[in-house]
Amino acid sequence: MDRTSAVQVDRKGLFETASLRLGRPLLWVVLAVVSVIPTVAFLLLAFSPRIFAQGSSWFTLSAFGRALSGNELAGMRNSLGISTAAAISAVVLSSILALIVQRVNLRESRWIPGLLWVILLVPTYVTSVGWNEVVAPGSIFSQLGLVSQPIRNLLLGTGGIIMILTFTGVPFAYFAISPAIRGLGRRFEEASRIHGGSIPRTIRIVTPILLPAIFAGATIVFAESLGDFGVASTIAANANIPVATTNIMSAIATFPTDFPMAAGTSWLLVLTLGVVLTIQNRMTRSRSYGVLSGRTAFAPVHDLSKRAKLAVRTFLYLFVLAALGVPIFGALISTLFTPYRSPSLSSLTLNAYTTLFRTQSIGGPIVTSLTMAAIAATITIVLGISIAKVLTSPRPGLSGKFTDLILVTSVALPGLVLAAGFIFVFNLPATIAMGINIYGTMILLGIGYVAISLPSNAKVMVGPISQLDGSLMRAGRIHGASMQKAFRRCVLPLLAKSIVWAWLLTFASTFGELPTSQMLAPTGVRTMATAILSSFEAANVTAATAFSIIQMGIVLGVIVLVQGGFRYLAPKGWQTIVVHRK
Amino acid sequence: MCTAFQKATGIVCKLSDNSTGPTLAKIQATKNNPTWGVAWTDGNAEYASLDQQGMLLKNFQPNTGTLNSLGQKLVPADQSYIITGVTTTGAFVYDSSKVQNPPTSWQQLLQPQWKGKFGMNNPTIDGPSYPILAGLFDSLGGATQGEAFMSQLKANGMVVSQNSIMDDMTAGKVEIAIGQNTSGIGRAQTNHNIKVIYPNPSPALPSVLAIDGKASSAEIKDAKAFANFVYGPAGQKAMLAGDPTGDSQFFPVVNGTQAEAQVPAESSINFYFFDPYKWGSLESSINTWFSSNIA
Repeated sequence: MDRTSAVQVDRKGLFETASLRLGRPLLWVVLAVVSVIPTVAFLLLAFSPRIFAQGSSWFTLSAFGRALSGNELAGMRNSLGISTAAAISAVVLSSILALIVQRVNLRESRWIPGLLWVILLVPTYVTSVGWNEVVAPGSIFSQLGLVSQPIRNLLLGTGGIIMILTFTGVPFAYFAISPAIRGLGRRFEEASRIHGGSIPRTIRIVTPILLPAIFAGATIVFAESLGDFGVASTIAANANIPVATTNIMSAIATFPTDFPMAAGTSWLLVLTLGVVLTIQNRMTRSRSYGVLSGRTAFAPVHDLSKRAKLAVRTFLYLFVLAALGVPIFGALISTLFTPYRSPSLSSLTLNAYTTLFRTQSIGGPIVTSLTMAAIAATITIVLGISIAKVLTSPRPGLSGKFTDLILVTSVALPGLVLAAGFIFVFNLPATIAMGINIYGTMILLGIGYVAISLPSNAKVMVGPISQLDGSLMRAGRIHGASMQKAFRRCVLPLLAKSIVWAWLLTFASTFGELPTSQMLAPTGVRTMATAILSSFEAANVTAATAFSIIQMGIVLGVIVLVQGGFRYLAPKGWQTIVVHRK
Repeated sequence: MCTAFQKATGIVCKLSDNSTGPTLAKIQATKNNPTWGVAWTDGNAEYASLDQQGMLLKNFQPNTGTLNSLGQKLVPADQSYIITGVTTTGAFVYDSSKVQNPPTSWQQLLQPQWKGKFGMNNPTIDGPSYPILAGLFDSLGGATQGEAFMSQLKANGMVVSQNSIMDDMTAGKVEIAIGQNTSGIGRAQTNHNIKVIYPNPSPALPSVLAIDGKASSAEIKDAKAFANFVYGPAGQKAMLAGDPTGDSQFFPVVNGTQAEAQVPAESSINFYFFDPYKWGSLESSINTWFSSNIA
């Protein structure tokens, strides 16, 4: 090796060492800016309203008094009950789906992972509106006598809220539980059965081994359900069921604005998640759950009897119908008939769409949201992978656990809280004096979008990244590849599909993000979500739903474009790499 | 309006796409360092509260138009905000093809024939609904009497909508929707069976424009130019043309401006004016009471 190349190698080594050493601190700085500082700033208001000129007291606990009484307390109670029920149901459903995918030789089972990504991409608002349209009095189904009053009461009440949150939560739970079920293999079940264990007894033996994954899945669904606003603002609001998120929204977006009380309620959400995570850590730390070893054999795929196949297929089709088919059909149909008239051929109309295009310019909002969603999704995916890597580290340490706490609590807090936190922090005269003057700019709107989507994105990437063996990078490095090249050649091909889906997930959620747009969009800038809200407030509900359908159509178009691009442009190896099961 | 103003004066005008709630939330959140310039929404109670916090420019009224008697009644003593038009809240909106003899007074809503057939929006969700309570409570003698009357309405099955009572009425869930008169007038343009009744009292809901008191002198100058434009002929024309099925159906407050044809004669309405400074400060507690006891 001559002197020049030796110097180059040294420089390269220095760069790699520096990036390795600076990587984590840099990540903390980013997390602090996009999540910790604005959230803490908002939460501080519960104790000290005066700190951001929202009251006269430097220290008071009165916000907690308000947050723990009347409607606010009822909302918290409802949120806890609903979120717990949704978490349990989602874990059960996702476990069944994971078992079908991994253990059953069925054509349909191959579609499930892709289907779960589609469920993630549909906003809960659209699902709620769709179900509402299907079961509401006067709907086609009601007029055909397919919806009885008890069913309507159930679906447009607590039962419907839990159902929709369960469906939304299933993908999150699935991505947490599926790798664990795969790693478990069959040996524990076989050991139990060989020693005479019945099926229920075998389930009781095997389930505890999966507890860490089950807890992880349940926690993220619980947090997602606590922080949901789509179902809360539709079905829950119509049924007069107060929940924590609508109470926070009401405290912030209805005059007189009560930021301290919203902060008090937010504290209750954070503390709830803190307790849940503590219980999870204690239970999973109290015994060993290690099952993966060099001798782990993945479970074989089974051929089912005809009757069993029929049962599994029926379950799958019912799931797809309830989670996607019915609500999307409902939302679509509500835009194609004249409102409040008996559905018939004569009431079939495209009026909702033509009104939309006639009464406002929707091109600007579409372009703005497309651009911002693409930028935010790209930044989020880079950060999400970095955070998922920290979370899946064999020794996450205190910082890893702290990151997990930040992410889960961020999921549970409504977007409005984070957005208001951004205003308090970035509009402070002190912040501006430091030269950081980004309030009212597209930059802060972009940071807000990243902040909102980062927790879910990182959590979704935890599953694929946890399946990676650390030796892959080492193998690449031993064979002379630089860090970047080792990642590109040995790791990226395995993650590529998940990265594409996670990018699409962030794109879809950002494209229609409302609270962040409302609070952080610069004056004069219209986004997709604020334009839809304008349609709604112009007393044109069908136009608003039509706008939502167009929004979903655009997202679908982007999915087709990106997935098509991946299929034709990505190296063949990236598309064919799968985890082989024997 | 923004486009017309910019075209007429050359002053750059950017319009926020937000509804009243988030707009006021942003104004409140940026109290430390305001960035808003001009705010223009429905309801004076909110601006009375902002005035009490020292956030508004005082002692300014536009000089390009003179106020009629309706407008003069609503100008605050310190001239901290500007009235640009008036609507009523608490109007009874109904479908005349379904309801032949609608109620014409608040007391009639307590009759058995209307049990479960009328409703209003929850004021914690819908801003223009609080003035219904404020006006009605004030006319009855105070919050205690008002709450008692609301409890009677609830006992007679009043429906409280969390989204839109007007949509509920159109869908047939209720027969009488209590709300802002402009919603009824707007719907009547596409469905001629929709009618609006103005009971006594009909709380006035003014449209209010205010200027940021902490803005720079240059911004205040531009904001004043905007207010003057609104009161001038071009501004009044833009107000009447901007939203034919909603906000444009207001009772004018500037002399010389004629209301749209669908708006009834001002003299036929029993407007009720309540003190926004008194009732604005009670908004939070009354809304909380309403959510806990009526909704």
